[in-house]
Amino acid sequence: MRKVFAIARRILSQFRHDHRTLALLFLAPTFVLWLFSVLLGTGAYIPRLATVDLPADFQTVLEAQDVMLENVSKARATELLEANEVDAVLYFEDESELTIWVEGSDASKTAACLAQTQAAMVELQKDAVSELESSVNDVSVDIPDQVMTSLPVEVREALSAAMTAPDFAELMPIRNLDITYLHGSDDWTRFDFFGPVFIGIFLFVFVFLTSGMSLVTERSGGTMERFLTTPIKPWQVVGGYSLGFGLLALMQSVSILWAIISLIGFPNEGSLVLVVLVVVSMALVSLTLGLLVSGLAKSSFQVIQLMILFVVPQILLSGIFDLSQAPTWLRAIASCFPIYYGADALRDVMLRGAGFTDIAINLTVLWGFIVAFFALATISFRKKRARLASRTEY
Amino acid sequence: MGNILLAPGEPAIKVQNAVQRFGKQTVLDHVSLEVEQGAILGLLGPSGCGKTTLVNLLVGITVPIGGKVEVLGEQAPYKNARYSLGFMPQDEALYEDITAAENLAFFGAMYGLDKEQIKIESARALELASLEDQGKKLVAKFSTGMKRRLSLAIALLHSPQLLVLDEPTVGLDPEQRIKLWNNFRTLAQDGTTFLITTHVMDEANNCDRIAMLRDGHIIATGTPQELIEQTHTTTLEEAFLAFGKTYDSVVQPTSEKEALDA
Repeated sequence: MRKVFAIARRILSQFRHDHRTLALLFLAPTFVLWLFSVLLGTGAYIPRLATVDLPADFQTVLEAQDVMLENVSKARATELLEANEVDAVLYFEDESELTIWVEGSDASKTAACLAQTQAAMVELQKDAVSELESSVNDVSVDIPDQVMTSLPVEVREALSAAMTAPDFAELMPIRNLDITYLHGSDDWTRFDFFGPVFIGIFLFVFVFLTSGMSLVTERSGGTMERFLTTPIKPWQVVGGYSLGFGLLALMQSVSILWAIISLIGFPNEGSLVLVVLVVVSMALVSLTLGLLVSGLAKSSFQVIQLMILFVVPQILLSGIFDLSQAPTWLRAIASCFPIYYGADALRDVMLRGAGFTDIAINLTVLWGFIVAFFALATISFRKKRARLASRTEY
Repeated sequence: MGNILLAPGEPAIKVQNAVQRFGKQTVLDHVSLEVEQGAILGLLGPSGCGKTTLVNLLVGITVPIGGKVEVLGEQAPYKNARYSLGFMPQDEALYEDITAAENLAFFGAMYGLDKEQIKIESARALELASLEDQGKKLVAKFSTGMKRRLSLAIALLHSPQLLVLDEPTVGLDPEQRIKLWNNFRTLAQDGTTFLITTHVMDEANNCDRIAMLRDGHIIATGTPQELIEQTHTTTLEEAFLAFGKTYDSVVQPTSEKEALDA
C-alpha cells in the first residue's frame, strides 16, 4: 500500500506545483455551469405576436398573457413575420375562426405561440360562460307568481322548461385549472431539470481529461520506462493513480457542488451527502475509464479523439434528450453507459429528493463500471511492458 | 537492500543467444554476454546498433523473442532482482513538475524504502550527483546537466547491486565526469556491477571490460588493452573500426540478403 500512497502523493504534488492547471480544474467547470444556468435559467420563452384587427375583448385577454404584442395592419404583419421579427400573426379569416399564422422554423417558439393563444382563448371562454350564466339568470326572475298560476298548465310547463338555467357544470366540466407540484415548483427553470445532468457531464469530461492524459505524458516523458523497471505491480500503479486522481476529483466535485448550490442557487431537494456520493462515484468511473483509455492512446491528441469516441455518445444519451419514448435499441445503448445512471441518480436526488434506497441500483451499476474499468486498466498495464518495446528506439 | 542469493562466482548478468525483433527488423541477433560481479562493463557501439534494446532487456522493460536473459541469477520478470537493480535511461525520465527531492522520494518509495531511509539515501545520492542544495528546486528549472545527474542519483538511490546506465555522462562537464567515474570505481570495489553504454570511446577506457555491438551482433569483447592489442591499433576507436571491418567482410552478404528480403 505504501507504493500506492507514494504514487498518489506524487500526483497531488504535481498538481500542487502547477497552479494554473489547478485553478483551471476548479474554475473552468464552475464557469461553464454558471453560463449554462444563465442561458437555461431565463424561464419560458415569451413569444412575439402580431395581431390584425382582433375583437377588443380578445385583444384584452391576449395582452394579459406572457406575450409581446404588436397591433398592426395585415401587410405590416406579413412583413414582420417574414423578417422573423414576430413569431406568429393572429387574425380572423371570417367571423368566428381565428387564424394563427406561425413563422414555424423553431418548433419550441411555435409551441409557445400556440400555448399563449390557447390560454387567452380559455380566458375568453371563461368570461363568455359567466356572462351567459348571468344573462340567463336575468331572464328567469321576471314573471310574477300570480301570472304564472293563471296560465294554462302546458304554457306553464313550457315556460319553466325554458327558464331553467342550463347546467353549466355539465356543459363546461372544466372551467378552471390549478397546477400542484409533486416535485419542484412553478418557478423552476429548464436549467433546474438539466442541471444535475450537466454537473455529471462536466465532472466526467474534466476528470476523464486529467486522468486520460496522465499515462500518456508519463510515456512521452520517459518516466513510464523507469517506472516499469521498479518493483511495482500493475494494480499498484492503477491503484495509485486512482487514489491520487480520486482525491483530486473529490475536491473538484465538492467545489463544483458548492458553487452550483450556493452561488448559482440550484435547488437540491435531497441530502447533500448523497449528491456527493453519486458525483464522486461518477468521477471514479470517468477516472478509471480515463486510465484505461490512456493505456490505449499513443499521444495526447489520441486521448482527445478517444474522448470523443467514449464520452460524447454518453453525453448525448445521458438524459439531456428525453429517452423515455426513444426506440428500444437506443434506450438499450443508453443503458450501457455509466453517465446515464449517474445523471438519473442525480436527478432523482436533487430534483425529487430520493433517498439512498431509491438510487441503490444506479450506484451499484456505477461501482460495477468502476471495478470493471479498474480491472481492465490493470490488465492493459500488465501488457504495456511489451508494448513499450515498439516505441523504444534502439 | 539486496537480498539476492547470488553465489560468489556467478555472473551478475548472463545473456545467452538473446534475439529481439521489431516487425521484420532483427535488432539483436543471438547476443551472448556475461558480466562478473563487481565489474564495470562498457557497451560500445554507434547509435542504432541495438544498445538501448539490450539495456531494455536487461532492466526488464521488454522480454526477448528468443534466448535467455538472466540478471542477478533471475530471469524476467525479475520478481526479486528489481529491488537490486538501478536503471538510468537515456532520456532524463524525471517528473519535471515536482522538486528533485520529491522525485527521489517517489522512486525511493517505488523501491520499497521507508521514510527514514529515503531521507538518508536522498541526501547521499544528491551529494554524489553534486546537487546537495538543489533538492527543493523544481526539476523543470534544472539545466540539462543537472537533470542527468539527478537521473543518476535516482538510479543510485536504493544502493542497487547492479547498475544499468544508458549514456550516463552525456552533457556533463569533464570535472563532473571524472568525479562520477571515481564514484563508479568506488561502488564497483564494494561489489556493485555496472553496465554502462557509451559511444564516447575514450570514456570506455575506464571500463574493466568492453563489449562492442554492431548491427545487433557482439563483434568483440575483452579489456580495452586486449582489444587494442588484438587489432594492432593504438586507440579503442581504431580497434572498433577494425573489428567492424572484419565483421562486415564476414557478415555483409547475409545482411544484404536480409535487407532484400525485407
